[in-house]
Amino acid sequence: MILFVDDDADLLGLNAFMLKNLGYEVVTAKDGEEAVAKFKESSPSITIMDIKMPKMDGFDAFFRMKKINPEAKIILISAYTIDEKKLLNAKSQSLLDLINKPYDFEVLENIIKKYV
Amino acid sequence: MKISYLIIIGLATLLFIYTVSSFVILNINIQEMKTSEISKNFALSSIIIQDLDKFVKKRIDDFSQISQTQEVQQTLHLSNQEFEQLLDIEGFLSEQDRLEKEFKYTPFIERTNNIDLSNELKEIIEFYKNVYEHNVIDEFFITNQFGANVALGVGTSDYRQDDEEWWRDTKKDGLYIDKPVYNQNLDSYIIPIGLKITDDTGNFIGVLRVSLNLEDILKDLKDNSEIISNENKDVYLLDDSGTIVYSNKDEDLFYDKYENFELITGETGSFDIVEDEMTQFVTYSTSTGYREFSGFGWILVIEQDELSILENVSDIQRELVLITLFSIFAAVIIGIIITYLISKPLNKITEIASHLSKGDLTYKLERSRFSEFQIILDSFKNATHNIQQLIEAEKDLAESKAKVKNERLTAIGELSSSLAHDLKNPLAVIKTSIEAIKMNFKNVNPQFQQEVFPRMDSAISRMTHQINDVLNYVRITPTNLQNHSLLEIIDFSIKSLKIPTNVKIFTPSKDISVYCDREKIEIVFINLILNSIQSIDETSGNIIISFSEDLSNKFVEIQNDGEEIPDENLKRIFLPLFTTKMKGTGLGLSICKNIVEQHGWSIKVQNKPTRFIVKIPKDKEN
Repeated sequence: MILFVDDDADLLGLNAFMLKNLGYEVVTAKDGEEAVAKFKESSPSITIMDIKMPKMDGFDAFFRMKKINPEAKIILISAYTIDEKKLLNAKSQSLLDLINKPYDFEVLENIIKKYV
Repeated sequence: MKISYLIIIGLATLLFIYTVSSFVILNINIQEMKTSEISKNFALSSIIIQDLDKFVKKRIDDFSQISQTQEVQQTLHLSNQEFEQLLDIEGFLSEQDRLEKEFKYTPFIERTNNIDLSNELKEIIEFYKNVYEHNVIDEFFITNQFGANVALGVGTSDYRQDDEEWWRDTKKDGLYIDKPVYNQNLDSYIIPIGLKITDDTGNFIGVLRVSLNLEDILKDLKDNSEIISNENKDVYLLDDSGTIVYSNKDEDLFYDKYENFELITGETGSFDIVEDEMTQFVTYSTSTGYREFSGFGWILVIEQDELSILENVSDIQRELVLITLFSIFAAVIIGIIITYLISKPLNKITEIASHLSKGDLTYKLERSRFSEFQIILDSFKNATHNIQQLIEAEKDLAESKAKVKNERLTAIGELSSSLAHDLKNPLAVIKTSIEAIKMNFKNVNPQFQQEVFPRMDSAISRMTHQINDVLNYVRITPTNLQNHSLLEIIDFSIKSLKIPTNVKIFTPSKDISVYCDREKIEIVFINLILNSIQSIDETSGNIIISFSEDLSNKFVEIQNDGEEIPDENLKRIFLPLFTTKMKGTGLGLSICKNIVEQHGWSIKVQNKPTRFIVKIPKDKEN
């Protein structure tokens, strides 16, 4: 099961559709809070999460999820600027990968295939 | 030209005029003084000569009284009777005269002379001498009607007098006055006088002969003359032939001929004589007698030289010159002082002006003690103050412009990064969409189209919206101002928006006209209405648009019943990139503010109810 998190409804919907089409089971969330809630609820095998989000950003959601499950597999997507401190912190807590927008869906697919 | 010179020249001119006029007035006064001095001398001379006449008349009266005494009358009467009894009076008189001359024999003293009367006459002489303390009488005798000496008071005399001219003149005229004669015995001049003696019925009975001492006659005149001589006046008493009888100038002049006698004409008069460049004013009066005394015919002359008249005046002239010199000196000093007092503040003002012209507005303005200068200083002060205010205002304006520009530049920088970020999401959507299309190239799954294409559309329109917003914010294009119906603009703005079904918009029924750039104002209302729609969110709500106006402004109010704006956001709501919405660029209200201000309007936001108010000043209307 994949948890896909993005505040951009179009991107979220499209990626969810694509992943589903590839045969994955997909759960979506449109902000950090919802993502943490869905993570607790469904314990996804991998979480793909945008960094810039309202209410709770990707990094904070990452740290919450790692608290809940330190083994959680999480990929972050960044658009432009990144808080380097938080990134280093996240990497130290075994962040799987960081993808930059706009990304090739293939890259996303390969990463998922690699870890799941 | 320096003011100082002008003041000094002005004062000096004034003084010069003053001095000249003073001299003119002085000269007029000098003429007046001369005239008055001359008339004074006139009066003096006539008074003195009259007094002399009075004096002589008094003496004559005294002696004629003596001749009327009973003793004189009786003696003469007896003597005349005696003579009348003689057969040959002429023979008797001649005989007596011959005896007297040949033998120095004075027969009448023993025979005919009346001892009593002679003694009487002597007593009279003594009396006068005692009273006047000098010899008044020099010669004193009486003859009978035949010229024979009857009584002798003093002096020597011929027995026979009828052969003398004076005796005959006295008998004929009643009074005889001779010229002054020097008398050795007395060592003084005498004036012989003959008086006709008549009885009660007026018959001629004899002659009284008396010689008056000139000293006595002139005593009062001399006293007066000495007083007069103190006034630098020379007094001359001339007899009718121009011989000097008395002069207070020099006693040696006695009996000299008065040198200007030929200039004396008439009873009174005056003339000027010039001697050694000195003018002498001469006035004269002729004796005209007193009562029946017809006077000696003597002339009193008063000479006065011009210098003595002008003595006091010349003092005044000297003082005037001194005063003038002093005044000119004072004028120069005053001029210098005034110049100093005026030019110092003038220099100060010039200095202030030059400081001000160089832009030194902080230069201290000292107070002037002259109100005129203070007025100038005050106006300088006001000017400085105004200029300072103007400069401050300009500075503020420049600073705020710089600040605005700076803010805009900062905003544009932030905007660029924001734009870069915000475009990445739709780009990611498009990229993923393309891969999806590739994947489903043969259109195996029709669901792809439904899922992918609308999202691509949305991504593209989002990008367009972003870019437009940025362009609207960054570009300030010139306004194309015209009168437009505001209601029309608002209606158009509403139509260009997708109004959710949960939102109701109310527009005013009465239109107003505004002078604006229609396209720009449409952007404003689209943004404001969109903002209201977004604040209402998914609950149902109303947007109420209304117009109002007061004397100087029109107002447009866009009110919504959506969420209130937190107080901390109210201040920042118009700042660029400020947004509380995920999908906002944070530019909408910033763009509204820019456009509104470009029109010279203003916009503000208020809570309770949440509303935007656009103020349109009427003076910005066409």
